[in-house]
This record gives sequence, C-alpha cells and structure tokens, in this order.
Amino acid sequence: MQIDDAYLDAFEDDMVRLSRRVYAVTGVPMYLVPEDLTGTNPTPPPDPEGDALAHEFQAVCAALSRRNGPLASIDISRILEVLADRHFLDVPFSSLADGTA
Amino acid sequence: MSPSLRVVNYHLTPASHTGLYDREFAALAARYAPVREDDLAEYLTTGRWPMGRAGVIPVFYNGYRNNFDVARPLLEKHGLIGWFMAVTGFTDCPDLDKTNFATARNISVDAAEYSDGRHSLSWDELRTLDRTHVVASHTRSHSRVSLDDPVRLEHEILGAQNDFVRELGHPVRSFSWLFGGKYGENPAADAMVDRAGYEFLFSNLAVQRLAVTPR
Repeated sequence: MQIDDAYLDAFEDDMVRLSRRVYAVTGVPMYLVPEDLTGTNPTPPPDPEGDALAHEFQAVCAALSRRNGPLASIDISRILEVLADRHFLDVPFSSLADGTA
Repeated sequence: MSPSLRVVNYHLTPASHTGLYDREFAALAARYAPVREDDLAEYLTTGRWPMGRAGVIPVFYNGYRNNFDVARPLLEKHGLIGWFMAVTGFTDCPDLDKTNFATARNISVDAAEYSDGRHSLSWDELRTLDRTHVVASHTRSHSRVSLDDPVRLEHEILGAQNDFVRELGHPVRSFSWLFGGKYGENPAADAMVDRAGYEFLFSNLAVQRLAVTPR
C-alpha cells in the first residue's frame, strides 16, 4: 500500500468529514485493541484482516506524524474511525447514512 | 498495537433513524457474528472467535429508552447481540427528574421524545435485555476515570454494581467510563473496579480483560 500525499489528503478529509457526524445518534464503528491483563494469557494475535489493518494503521500514524507532528490520542481515535469506516464493510459504513451505499 | 476487535458505538437511537439502524444492523450481521461475554473471554484468551467468524459488538451507551424501543427489535431481527452500558442512577431517578439528571451529567436527551419524561431504560427493560443481550455498567452517574474522591469512586463503581445485583439478581461483567478511560490510568479507580468484580473494561482504544476478584 502506497501512502503518498494524495492518500493522506483523502485520509485527512475523511477524518474531518467523520468528525462532523452527530455522534449522539450515529453508529460509529471502531477497532479496539484486545488486552488481557489477567497475566495468564498472551495477547491474542490479530486475525489476517486485523494484521493488515495494523500495518495500515501504523503506516498512517507514521505518515501523519511526519506531516503534522506528534499525534494526540484524539488523532489516534480519528485514524481508527476512518479505518473502521472504510474497512468494516464492503462499502464505507458512513455511506449507509448518506444513501450512497 | 494491533486493533482487531470490532465495535460500533451508539448512544441515542431515535425512531426517526429506524431505517438507518436497520440497514446498519443488516450489513453488520451479514459479515460478522454476534458476541456474548463468554465469546469475548475466549477471544481474549485464544485470539479466536468460537463462533467460527469474526464478531462485532454493537455497544449502546447511557441506557436510553429508545435503545429498547428502536434498536433492540432491529438487533433481534438481524440476530445481533447488543451490549447496553447503563447508567444506573439515570434508570433509578424519577421520570420527571431524568432530563435534569441527564443535562447535568453529559447525557444527551431529546426532551420532546417521550412525553412522560422517562428517557432512560427502566429496570424491567434492563431485565428483559439481560435475558438475550448484554447489560453492563457505565457507572452510576456517568463519571470519568479521573475521579479521585474515594467515597464517590465507591458510589460510582461498586454502587453501580450493587444496583445491578439488586435489580438483575447478579453482578454484571463489563464496565466503561465516561469519555472512555482505561484501566491503568487511576490506581484508586482500578482498585474499586477490581473490588466490584468487573471482568471487561471498554475504553476508547481497547477492551481489557481484568483479573476478576471474587465478590
């Protein structure tokens, strides 16, 4: 996957667009990191889709930090929101709301 | 960091959006399996979903009445399991006080939606949800993890669990803070979460499986 300026421009546009949703009435897909704190089990490995997602997530984080400086936790959340919106379904999840699906 | 658990976060589910939620739940159910707490425990232990395909967790925050009236029938139509993070003080307060309770605690309500003023889930509705979905704790009055008053911590964390035990007949297994705080941010809060016996903590970026302390 190539992360160039065009990719990052589109990604940042999606971050802004999705942040404008009315969160109080909107379903927001998100990826969460599984953590086992019981001390009895290793962290589960990601499934193949999760593995690919992790690579894309890390690449986008690195590229956006190079472009804009260090990321805050809200930036991380917004990045995950965009990835989830794009990858949860065969169509962007948000397109179900805007009638373009 | 390997984000791989899929959740969809909801709050209010007004009837005006019924068609949209129907489309969303249909699309999710076509691709993912419903998740119960035992399924999540197995996934966090082994990295594999026992259902044979990846799971999705629709999470409904704050305990809104329209989650029961609008979202629940659609979840059941599509075979999904909803996780309802209830604020027990919202359910417990008198109907005519609910709008004020909500306004003072970062809970959005549409005051015109229910003319009787009951904007929260009732305990009867929570008992119904508890039979086929997952009922979980979102504190007693919608509090954040940075809370540092030990009396209020006990009230919010252990108090909410006691509310569930009183009304559902058993403790709930999952917990979340307002604004998605994590286990590990506040040792005093963590200790109270342990004391209350919660097993899963949902935050903004993670689902944490905790070492359960028998109550």
